[in-house]
Amino acid sequence: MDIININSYMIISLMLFLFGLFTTITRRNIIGIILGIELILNSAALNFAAFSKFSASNLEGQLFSIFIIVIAAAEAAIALALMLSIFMRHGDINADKLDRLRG
Amino acid sequence: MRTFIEHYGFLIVLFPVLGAFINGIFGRQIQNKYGEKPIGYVASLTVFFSFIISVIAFSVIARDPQPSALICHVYNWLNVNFVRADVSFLFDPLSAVMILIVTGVGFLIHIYSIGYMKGDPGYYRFFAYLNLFIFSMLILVLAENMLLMFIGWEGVGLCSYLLIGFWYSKKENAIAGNKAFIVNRVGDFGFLLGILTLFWSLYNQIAANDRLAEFSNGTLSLLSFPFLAENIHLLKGVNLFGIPEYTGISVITAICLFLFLGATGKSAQIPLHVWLPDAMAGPTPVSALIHAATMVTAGIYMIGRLHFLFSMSSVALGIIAAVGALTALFAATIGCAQNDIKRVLAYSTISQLGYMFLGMGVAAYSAGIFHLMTHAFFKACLFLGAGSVLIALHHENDIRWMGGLKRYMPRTFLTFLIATLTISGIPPFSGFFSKDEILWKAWSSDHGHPILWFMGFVAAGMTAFYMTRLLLMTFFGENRRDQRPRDAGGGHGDQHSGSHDIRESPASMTVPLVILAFFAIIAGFIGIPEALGGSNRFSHFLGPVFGSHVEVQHHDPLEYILMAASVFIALFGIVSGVLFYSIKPGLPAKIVSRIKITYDVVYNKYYVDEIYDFVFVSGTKVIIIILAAFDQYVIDGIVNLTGFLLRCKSRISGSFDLRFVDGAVNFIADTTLSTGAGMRKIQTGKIQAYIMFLFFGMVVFVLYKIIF
Repeated sequence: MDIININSYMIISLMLFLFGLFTTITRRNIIGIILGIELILNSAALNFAAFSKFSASNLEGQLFSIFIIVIAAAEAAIALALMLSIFMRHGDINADKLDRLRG
Repeated sequence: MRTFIEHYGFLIVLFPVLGAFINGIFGRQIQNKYGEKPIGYVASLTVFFSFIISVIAFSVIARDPQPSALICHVYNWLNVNFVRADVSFLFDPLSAVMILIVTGVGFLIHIYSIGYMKGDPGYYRFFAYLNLFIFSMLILVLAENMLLMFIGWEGVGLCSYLLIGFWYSKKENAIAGNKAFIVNRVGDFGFLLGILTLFWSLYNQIAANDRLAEFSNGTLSLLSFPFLAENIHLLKGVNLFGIPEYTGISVITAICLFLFLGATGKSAQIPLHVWLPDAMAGPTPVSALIHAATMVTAGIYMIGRLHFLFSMSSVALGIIAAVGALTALFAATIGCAQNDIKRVLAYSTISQLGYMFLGMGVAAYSAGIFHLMTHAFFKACLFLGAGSVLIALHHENDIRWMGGLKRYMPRTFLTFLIATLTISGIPPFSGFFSKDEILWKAWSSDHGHPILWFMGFVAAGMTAFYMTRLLLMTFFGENRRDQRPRDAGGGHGDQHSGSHDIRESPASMTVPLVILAFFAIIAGFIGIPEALGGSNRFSHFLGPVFGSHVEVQHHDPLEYILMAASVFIALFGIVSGVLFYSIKPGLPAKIVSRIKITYDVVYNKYYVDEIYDFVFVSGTKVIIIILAAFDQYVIDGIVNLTGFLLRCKSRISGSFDLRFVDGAVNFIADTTLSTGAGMRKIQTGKIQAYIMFLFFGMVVFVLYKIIF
């Protein structure tokens, strides 16, 4: 078996996910949080590609990865627009201060 | 003329009610503006018009060779399936005689009242009532069916009540009026029951014979007298509630006894006689008209009208005869011991009514009606004479303090004497013929019995005795006015001493007296029995009504013997009266002291009032007390207990509601509130915290999945 097997991909993907999660949780700046989310999305996209490479004969997983990337781009655009809007409204994009959803 | 009565016969009834209307509605204004005269004239004239039409009706019926019923139909009053009641008036020989008596005597008494009531503040009221009475009495007499008769029956009772209590400011008058009304209610109840039983049983019989279709066109009336007379035979042998025939109780007997109860109430027979003596509290013309001549004879008239019914029950006839004879005797004994001039006459009336019932009870209907007629004349004459005396003596009515009035009041005396001889049964006055016919029938009729005759015979003697006593104590001897103890009673005569102010009454009072006395003399001649060479035209005149009861008399020597006997006992009564109260004035006191107890019993009217008072009035009071206690303790107790239990129950359910139901609601609310308060702490609004929760939640799930 190759040295690079599915476990390698899994580990990379897991690390990407954990980094993304960590970023998402710890960052106070909303832009940082969005960057973390992008990382989590990429770990998922990596998983698609990896599973497709090792278990299926066609390229469905890779295709999905491309979709995810496209969607992530669109999402980032929307998120940045939202952030701009929030900043214009509150003069700040610190996540700790945006707690108007508190019960 | 026949068609005139057929079309306009109702005018007889209409005129008096018109008078009552005028005097009743406008009387006060008329009296204030024009005085008393127009009131008396209006009242008397209306009755006089009625009298004239009555005479026409009478002559129409008398001239008719085959007198048949003549019906004046006015309008249809009720028409409910089988109950068809018309306002129709039935003219036949019986009602013709009655309307003549009612309007004739009534007219004379109206005239008399003009003088008698002079100066009374209620003058207009008196005449309105009197006219109303004539109206009611005529309705009673002329009614074509039993329902209309009942209206008249109640109407005369009402007028009697109103007139007894005419001077209502005196308490005893008001009480006497109430007494008369209440006692009459008892009788009226019986009368109504009789009508209802008659209707019920006859309806059943007609239905059983499949004859209901005859009623479909609405021209037949179940309770009209002609229909009853034709169809009463259907009730022959019908049992009452299945009681077998041989007991003598049948539906006919029940009806007759119910109706007779009504008659005892109206005509003051035992046991409902107690109201009549007290009714003397009313003005004297009222006593003469209502309580002697007309209303009290309604019971006799009713039995005569329904003779076909009574003839079918010999049990009922026997009871009627027995009650009549007993009442005649019983009231006569009381009459001997009374001191109030009007009360003596009242008991005499009861006694004479007893005679009439005796006549009815032995199926001698025409004899009963004959005596009714003669009695109307002589008793009205006696009462009006008494009224004349009362006016002269300023309403002193105790005969012990009268006496010697013969000199001052010759006309009153003479008429009173004639009437006394008439009621005593001295020939050739009318009372002799009518009383004798009843006595003869009481012995000889199929329903008669010598015992009945004997009771009537003794009563005749007593009648002669007490009437002589009354006459002697009132008109003869010396005037005893000064001997009146000042403290005895509240008479008006105390302040007048001597007899110089006693005057004969005015012509308006004496003329009716003379006319009545005249009729008291001659009225008997229309009914002279065959045995005395007469033709008993009265009996033949009533023949079409009473049917086969008039038969050709066989000349029985016994009849002459009985006739002689009754003349003898009448003379005996008069002679003993003269002996007791004129020749040996000390004798009555001696006899009274010897038979003290008997005298006291008789003087107190056999304590009948006291017994009734004890049994009915006190008995009712006791029942009332018991019922009140029952109400207070048992009924109220039950109600209070129920209330108490309900309060307890509601308190329990109230607290249950407060603790459990409300508690549950509050508990849910509190729980939700506290849960919310706990939960809101989690919702910080910080997105990263949420992600943390999300992540650790997922970790927990994953770990759970791995471990288990």
